[in-house]
Amino acid sequence: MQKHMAVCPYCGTGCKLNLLVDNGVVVGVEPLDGHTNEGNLCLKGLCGYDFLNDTKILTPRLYHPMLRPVKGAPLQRVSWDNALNFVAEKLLAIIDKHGPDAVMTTGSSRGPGNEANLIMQRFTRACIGTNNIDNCART
Amino acid sequence: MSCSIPGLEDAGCLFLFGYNPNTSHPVVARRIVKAKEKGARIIVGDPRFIETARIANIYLPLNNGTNLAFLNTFANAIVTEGLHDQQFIDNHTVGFDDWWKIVEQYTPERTEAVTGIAPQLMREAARMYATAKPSAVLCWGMGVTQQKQNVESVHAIAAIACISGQIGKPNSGVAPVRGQNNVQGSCDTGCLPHIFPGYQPITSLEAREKFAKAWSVPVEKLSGHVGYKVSNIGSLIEEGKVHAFYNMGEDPLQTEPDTNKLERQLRQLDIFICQDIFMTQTCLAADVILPATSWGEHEGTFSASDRRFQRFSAALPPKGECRHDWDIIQDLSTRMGHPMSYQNTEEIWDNEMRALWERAYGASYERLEGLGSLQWPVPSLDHPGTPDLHLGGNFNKPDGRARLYASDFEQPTEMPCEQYPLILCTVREVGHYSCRSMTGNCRALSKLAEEPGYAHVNPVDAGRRGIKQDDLIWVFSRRGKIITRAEIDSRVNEGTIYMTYQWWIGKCNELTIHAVDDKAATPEDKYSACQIEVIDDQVWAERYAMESYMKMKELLAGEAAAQFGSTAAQKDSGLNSFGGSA
Amino acid sequence: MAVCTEGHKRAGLQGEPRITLFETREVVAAITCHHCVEAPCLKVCPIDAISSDDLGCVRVDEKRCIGCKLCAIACPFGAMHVGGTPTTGVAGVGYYTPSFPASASPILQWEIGVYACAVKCDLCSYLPNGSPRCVAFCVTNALRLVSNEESKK
Repeated sequence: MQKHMAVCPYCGTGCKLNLLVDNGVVVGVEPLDGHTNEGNLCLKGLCGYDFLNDTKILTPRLYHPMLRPVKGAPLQRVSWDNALNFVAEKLLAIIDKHGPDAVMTTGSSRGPGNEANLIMQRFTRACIGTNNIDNCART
Repeated sequence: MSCSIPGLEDAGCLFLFGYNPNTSHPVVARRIVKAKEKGARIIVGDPRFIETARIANIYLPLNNGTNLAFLNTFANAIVTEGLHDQQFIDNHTVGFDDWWKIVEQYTPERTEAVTGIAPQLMREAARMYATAKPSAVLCWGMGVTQQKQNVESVHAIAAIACISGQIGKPNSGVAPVRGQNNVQGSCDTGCLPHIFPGYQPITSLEAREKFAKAWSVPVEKLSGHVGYKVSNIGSLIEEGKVHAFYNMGEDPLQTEPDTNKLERQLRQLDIFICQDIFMTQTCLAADVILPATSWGEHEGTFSASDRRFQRFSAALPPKGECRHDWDIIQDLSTRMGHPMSYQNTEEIWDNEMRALWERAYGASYERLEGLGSLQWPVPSLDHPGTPDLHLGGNFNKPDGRARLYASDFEQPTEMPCEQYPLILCTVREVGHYSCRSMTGNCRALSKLAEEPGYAHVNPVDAGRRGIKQDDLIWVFSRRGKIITRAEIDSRVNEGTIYMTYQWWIGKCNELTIHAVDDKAATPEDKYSACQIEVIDDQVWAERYAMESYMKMKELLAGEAAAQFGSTAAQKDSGLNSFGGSA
Repeated sequence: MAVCTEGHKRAGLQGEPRITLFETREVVAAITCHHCVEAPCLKVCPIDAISSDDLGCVRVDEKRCIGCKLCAIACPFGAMHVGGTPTTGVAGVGYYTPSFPASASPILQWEIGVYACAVKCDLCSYLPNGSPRCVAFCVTNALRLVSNEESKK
């Protein structure tokens, strides 16, 4: 069994915990003596890990890029190359026609973490050229 | 937060205003209980008799939607009782006289009818807070921010802390205990339309030059005007101002107000890109879905609500073709002409955060190893981090002084009326989180709390309508109608119902009003008008709720099936892979 | 409640919380089995599926239970829950069809095909060290396991 140290992905307390992994599956969690949580975890920290194993209790995990070739069409699986080229093409066309402020992006206040947010805001500002970036803080 | 979460237990007084730690941050609630055990005084201001109210020295049952009237009165009581710290006001603040011009109108006697707080109780609470030794902390949450006069209320709270001298010393000050695990981080890293990482304003040419240089782009590329806020996206789309939306890690069709309208608006986008880990309701409306790795499958840092940087690592490798969020965006950026080629999160952290924000420089990955954590500002590699801000009364202004701002109270946007006589207020529950795409997929958590969720109703309101515990009821507002279960709760005040925003079927956000303030653009989730009614045929209602839920699950599973090559129509009833929560 | 559910489910027992929260304005309490000395549930079970060990822990043998619910009616504290294994997930059944409103007493409800079973606190005796998980994980240390001798004082 391996232990991987993490910070709980739910609320803003920032409890430290270990994810316990066996055979490629997360089998449990143990609280750590973090500065804030001192070995405690709430029920979400303790039992909120099994979604990682794609339990499909509520909704399935996403594994592959998908897109609708035209608006309203059913989703189709595509390769990463296709998906990103499609997005790049569309965004560049919109920026060309309507200006960079016609694009809005969001960073995430949850799982992706600070580094993903840093890249997202740099992409929005240095690549697209707008300040239309926000996050889900308010709700 | 101007203090730290562990520091809460050493304060002399904790005033929780519109904040329910037991459901939002159980481990913070532990600190509050410890503070009480150590002799701290607890004051709670909330329309509901929340858990912390049971251990509070003073409980202030204020009426919904009267925050600013309350806060102005509280400040008034502090000054008129002579409990203010004149020295602090003279040395560390600016604008007292103008501030007082407004606040002096709000005497406890005059505002009693609005706030519902008896003058004597108000003065007692003001005394307890202002005279607390060694310090007092004023904590708040969405009860303050998701209301009409949110920004004004926060100004009022800051003013209260300043005029009573309960800020600028250890374990004191203002504590908006931020909800989500990395909401502090998303702000620290500049994911806001008016700031770069580290709160450096985009309107400053100097800042733009610094970032342009770091990013190797001409300074003209960086826009100097403030961008749009995502809570306005619906109207921005309708006005033709926004044509593309790249949404990462958020489910606005679950968590934003007036979701039916928002869905219609989002479908008008030229392109809607969702980068997520689960097939959510928002992904249904998307044109492009990019699968990202989840927490547990990537590493990085989070900023906890007390400004604490902490590292987290990956436990599992990426699944399927999922890629890390930063990797996806970096690739897209390169294809669009702005190349980035980071190899790992440490490089990103060092180059984009530490190199560009002096206050984060000292938070290297090495220092954050293991159980390490550092609260910013941490300007150098040997700096221990800063648990308490504004020590000595130094504020982040050119003259180092806090500004005192006051405003007059205004009623909430949608008042109850004859057709919709109850107030709808959204709250959290402890067993699920936010849009529930993660916790809803966890066995124990979904076992404990499932659709269609509950509306907490006062016994008097329930009795009048013939509603019993666990009955299924309709809740409706001007914007929609949903089914949920009734929880008859003597802790909630008459005239208001409280619902959590996790549920798809009991979706209170179909009913909430999309009224955002013009400064922070935060929706007024805490106050909409609604009505409830019991459903006569309860067995029909049970079946209806169950069927609606299963239909929704099937819909999402069907759409997600496209990633395995079959279309929604071809796939065998998605139910086979959904054996309930057994 | 969450760690109770998880712990039991992992041990192959009913994945149901055996401790509940009772919350009113006056009191918030965790209600669970009192492991009575003269347990009414034990006395009333028609097939002796409930037993008491040397330490006084009263336990339900979930495999033996026939779901008659007499114990649930007998318990003066309401600590006996009616759990069961639904047919969802079996032979293509995606969800059960409710035939009773949730507002009816759980003792009166029954669903076609659901094998009902009495579920109650067993002091986590299925664990090697047998120490109740709810006590260990309570964030404010509000729960305590009290032995018979202590409770007599």
